[in-house]
Amino acid sequence: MSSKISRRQVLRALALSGTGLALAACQVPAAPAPSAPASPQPEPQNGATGTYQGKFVITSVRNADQSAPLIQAIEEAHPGVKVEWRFMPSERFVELFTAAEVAGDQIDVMDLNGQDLRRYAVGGKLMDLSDISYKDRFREVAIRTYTIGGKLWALPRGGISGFTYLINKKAFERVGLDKEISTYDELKVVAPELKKLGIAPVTHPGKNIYLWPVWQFWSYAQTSKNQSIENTIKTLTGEMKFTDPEHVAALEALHDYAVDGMFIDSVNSLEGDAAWVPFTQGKAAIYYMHTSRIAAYRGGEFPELDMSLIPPLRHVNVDDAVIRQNPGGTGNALGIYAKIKPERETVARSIIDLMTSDTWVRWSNQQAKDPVSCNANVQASDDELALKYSKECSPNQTTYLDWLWPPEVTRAFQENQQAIVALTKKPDEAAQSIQKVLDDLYKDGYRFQT
Amino acid sequence: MAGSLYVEAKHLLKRRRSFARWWHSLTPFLWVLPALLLYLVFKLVPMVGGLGLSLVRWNGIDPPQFVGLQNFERMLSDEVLGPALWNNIRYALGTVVSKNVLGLFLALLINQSLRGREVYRTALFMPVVMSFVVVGILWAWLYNDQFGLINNLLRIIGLGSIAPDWLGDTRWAMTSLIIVDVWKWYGFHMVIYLAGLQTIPVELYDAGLVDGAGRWRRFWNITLPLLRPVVIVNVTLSLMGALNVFEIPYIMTEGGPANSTNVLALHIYIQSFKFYRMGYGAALSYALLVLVSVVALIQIKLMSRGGHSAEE
Repeated sequence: MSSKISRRQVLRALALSGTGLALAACQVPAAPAPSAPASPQPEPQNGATGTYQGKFVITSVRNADQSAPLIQAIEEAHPGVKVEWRFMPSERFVELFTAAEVAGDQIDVMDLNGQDLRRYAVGGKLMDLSDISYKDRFREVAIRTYTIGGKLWALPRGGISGFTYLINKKAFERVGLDKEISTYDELKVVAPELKKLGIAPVTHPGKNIYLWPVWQFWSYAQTSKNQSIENTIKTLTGEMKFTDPEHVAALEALHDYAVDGMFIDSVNSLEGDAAWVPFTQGKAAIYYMHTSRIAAYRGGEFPELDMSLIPPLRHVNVDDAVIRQNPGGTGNALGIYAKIKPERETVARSIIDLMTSDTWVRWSNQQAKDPVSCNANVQASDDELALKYSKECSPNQTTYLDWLWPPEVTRAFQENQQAIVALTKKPDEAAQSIQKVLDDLYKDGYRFQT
Repeated sequence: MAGSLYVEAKHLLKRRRSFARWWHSLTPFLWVLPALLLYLVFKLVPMVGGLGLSLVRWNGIDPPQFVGLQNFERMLSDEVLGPALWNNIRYALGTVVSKNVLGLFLALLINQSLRGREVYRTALFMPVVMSFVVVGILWAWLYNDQFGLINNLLRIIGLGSIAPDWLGDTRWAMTSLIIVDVWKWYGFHMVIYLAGLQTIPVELYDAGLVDGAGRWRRFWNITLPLLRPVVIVNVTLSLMGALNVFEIPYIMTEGGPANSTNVLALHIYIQSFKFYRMGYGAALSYALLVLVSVVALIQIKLMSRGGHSAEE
């Protein structure tokens, strides 16, 4: 028996299923269950919370699942306020935020990656927060980072963390080096021995193009005699050039690592995990990476790894007085949207107060395993390595230079550094290419705003 | 009186018939109306909007500023554009030839009466339905120099010394991406060739056999000429795909190392969403549209000359 279905029946069925799907898509998804760590109880906030009731939109680079307890606390502390937490991951923040703004969507608080603060502050998208009364809640460096043109545009939220040389003490012990290595010359001496044992001196996820500039951050900190921020501003305002000797010398440091065979084989094709695995297996001695790896180390079992951390190695021809600085950031930048409706401003101020309170920053630090908190009275972690970072690295931390560079210059560094490591470009040629990008930007109307 | 009623009724009937005819002729349009509306809203309107965008300078923050044709002029001094276009050409050469040769070869193989032919067809077609992200990650691991399957196999058979750093070496990165593209899409072209092969009358091969034509001769003088329209379709599709390619370089290399796999679509993405030059990105998109259209047109014209078809 065969049953034929007419075209009309098929179309009707399709229309019905389409309507069903459309209705299903319109339904609000079920709220995810809040996850660990245990959330603190909401605390009374400074100042009035206003009388606003209704939807309140926070755009954030952190996802809503991670922030569920915080969202709950905000709503409990502000009865009648319903938080809509919009996750806008850092790499897509620009496109999502622009789309939301063009569409006229409600935006109240912006929880930005620190890297994006300058763009939105000078672009007039953030409210001046210089008048807040609780600046002493934060570490001075964190407040300074988010101050542009003498005005505070965002509050630091979270932890102070950065890139550091993670070292495998076991690997160095195998070549008879019991003390912490501190200079590139020392590494050059032990590198052949390490290689004989099948241990690469340095591993790095070079395929991830965004991670190359961190090499310039530490090397330029040394070659500029710890004036990397000041001199970068001078370079971006035209007083200096990327072709100046100290910039080129910083690129040469990376070139030295490549020419001397310090990097693991196929460094330019390794991604995060592919670079981390050899380190954990005792097949690489140094991994220049973010402090968030401390949590990954504590969370796994790595019999071949006895991890410690040190500031980047002192490079050749660098003055002994120069401090080995490592680059880092000061948590998220929490600001208020400049065009917020006046009836929501008071509640917005109250909410950012809550979000940056010691209680909730401690919670955030525990979640992210931050080594140092942005809040002065909060000890982020009692982990031995986190404390070491806090004591030996954090005081000398310098801000990521790509928080100052325009994105075109950042990209130019990424591409040219990859080329230096691939030995297809020399440092001085790379410096010229980077300077040309900046020159073209100037021709195009770019001006660095201090 | 009766006469005038008759005329009126006839007139009414005629009007009704003409309305019915008009309504009948309208029906097909009503059926396609939803699709047309979707096309209008999601294709035509953004295309026209994109043209408008290409005439302004807009960083997504400040208000757009009309700059006329400046964004198009800018292409002439864009130093990355030339190498990106060259990378597209290399990519197109590698993928168009390989996908079509391999697709045709496999189609010829599985067009024969084999046991489990459907299984082969399904297995060979499977990469086509896989997501780009999955394919990208899968191949990135296969290519991994430390513990990837390919280099480990080379080491096992004693060729470790020539095992390249597939994605990390500027000399090999583009070839690596071409291999992935070919692997992902050969099944798609194979299916189209297979459909083409099945339209060729068997009698022609029988006649060829009677005339003493060998396997190669039959392929060259019967199969290939009669497949010409299918070849044109396949080459056009693969060429347009190669000129528009974005996903594989984006996922696997992000244009690196050292820009060696940066292609036009990736350049457009970077300009628009990394450098916030929405207007320039739109202008580049239109330039790419024109380029793809012109190249496809030339290719179709060239390949259509002196063509045959199975019906002739």
